[in-house]
Amino acid sequence: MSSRFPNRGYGVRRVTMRRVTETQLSFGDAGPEATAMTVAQLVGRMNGLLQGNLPMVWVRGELSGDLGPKGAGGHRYFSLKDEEADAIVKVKLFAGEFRRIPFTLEEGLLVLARGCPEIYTPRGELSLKILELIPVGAGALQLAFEQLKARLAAEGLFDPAKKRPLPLLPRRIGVVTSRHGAALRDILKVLGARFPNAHVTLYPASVQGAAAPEEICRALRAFSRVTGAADVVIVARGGGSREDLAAFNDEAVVRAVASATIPVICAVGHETDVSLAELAADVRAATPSHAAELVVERLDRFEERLGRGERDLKVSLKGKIAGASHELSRLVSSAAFGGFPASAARCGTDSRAASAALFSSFQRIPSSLLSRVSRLEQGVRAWPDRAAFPLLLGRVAAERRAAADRMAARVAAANERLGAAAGRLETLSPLRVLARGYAIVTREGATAPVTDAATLAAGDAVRMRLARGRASARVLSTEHE
Amino acid sequence: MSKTKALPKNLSFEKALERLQEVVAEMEDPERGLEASLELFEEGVSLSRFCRSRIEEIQKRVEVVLKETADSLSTGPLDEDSDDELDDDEDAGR
Repeated sequence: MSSRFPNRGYGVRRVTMRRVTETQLSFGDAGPEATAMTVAQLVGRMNGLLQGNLPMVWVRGELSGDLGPKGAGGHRYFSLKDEEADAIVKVKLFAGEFRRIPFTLEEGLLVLARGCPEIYTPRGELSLKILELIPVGAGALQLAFEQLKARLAAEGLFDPAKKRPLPLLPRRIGVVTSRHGAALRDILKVLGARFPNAHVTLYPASVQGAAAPEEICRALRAFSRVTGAADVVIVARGGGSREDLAAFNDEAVVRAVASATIPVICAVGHETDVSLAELAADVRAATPSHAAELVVERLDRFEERLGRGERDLKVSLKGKIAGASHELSRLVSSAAFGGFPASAARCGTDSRAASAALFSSFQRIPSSLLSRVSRLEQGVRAWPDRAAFPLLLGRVAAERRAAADRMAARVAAANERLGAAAGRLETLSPLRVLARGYAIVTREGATAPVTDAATLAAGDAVRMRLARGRASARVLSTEHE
Repeated sequence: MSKTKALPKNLSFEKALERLQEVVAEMEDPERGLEASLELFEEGVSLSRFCRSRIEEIQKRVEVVLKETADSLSTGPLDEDSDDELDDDEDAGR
């Protein structure tokens, strides 16, 4: 060691110092020169002591200082301050560790830090190398969250039975979100593609920060209170950390969602945590874009459904009219009636009256009604596409209705009378009796049948009506009964 | 019998669309007579017309609430081109 000091000029002083230290501190034979550590050794020893006694510690303290990244590496160097005592420890948080921290660092935030205390040799500075950081409030927050969730669930705020269906066609869509946020942009973009005519009313509200709960509540209340302001409301925000979503776990917000008078879609873009507001909403959407998809059916699907309905109606009606028309023609031209008049006319008065009544009503139908039916059918065929549909309908409705009413009534009445008359005709018809071998006997020139032999005398001329044909005869004798 | 089929008051779009589908199904029933079918047809057309008018009466609008009173919201057009001032508050804080 002595060789490092030049002898000349420093000799006396060196000797003096040496004597003083020797007598006062009694270093013994070895002397400080032999025992002194280098700075590097000291720091090394101290680090060794730290590693031996405090290899890994949890420290509770408040974040303090500049929390931002420094330099190209993006590491952070700040301090942890004791909550009460005047004590501070420097900390370093490497970029790799920082990326795993799921919350936002804020000055003054109380945290639990896990790390290794160590002295940074080049600077001789003690600092805590942080490996993990959790906000102290988190446990308490989580507990409060679970308790609130249980309480609101018990009140039935999340009851699936209370979920209201969304209106199929919302006339106005209310949106509660930040005016300049990505959520609004996404919603408008999706709506523009699905239902370009959508009427959207934004009630701007902060979706994070201290003011957010009150602003969201105010917007929801306004949409609920003002009749017609919206048929459905979307409450949305994009993704964010758990703390960013705090407003959606706020009791007042959850209650406002649950008590809204119109259905609420809640879209909080966060994959892992479901907020209480989402549980209380009528519909939960994964993202704001998803909410916009749920809120209204695509316009072209509506068009499709209505168009199909109208086509089916037209096809069915055409079928019915064709069917009725066919049935009518069949009835009128059926063999039973076509060939009937001639023979019926020669029958007894009862049957003649019956058939006359039948035909008088029935024969009028074809001329008037069949023409109406065919006009009607032409109308149906000529229907243009649905643009003029309602208009045309209006013009032909009266005609169609009148014709159809009469036709239906007459067909029904005719059917009934036809059945009755035909039945009567059948039973009354003498032809039926004659067919079994009987004959109707009348006096020559008379129409009333002879039913008593006493009215006849031998030699009278009579006419016989047989099942087929007639004959003239003379009475040879009579027997009275 | 009325000439035009009167739809129930306060008919909702949902009910109208649902009923339209019922009407179509009923008309396809071969047992259904012409008279009843005409009734159904008119009802169906009225329903379809109602639905279309409800869709058409929605006017494209994007507005923002400026002020609210007890029973109304006063709104103004939302400037959709203001994307440049997008401050994406939900993405801040990292």
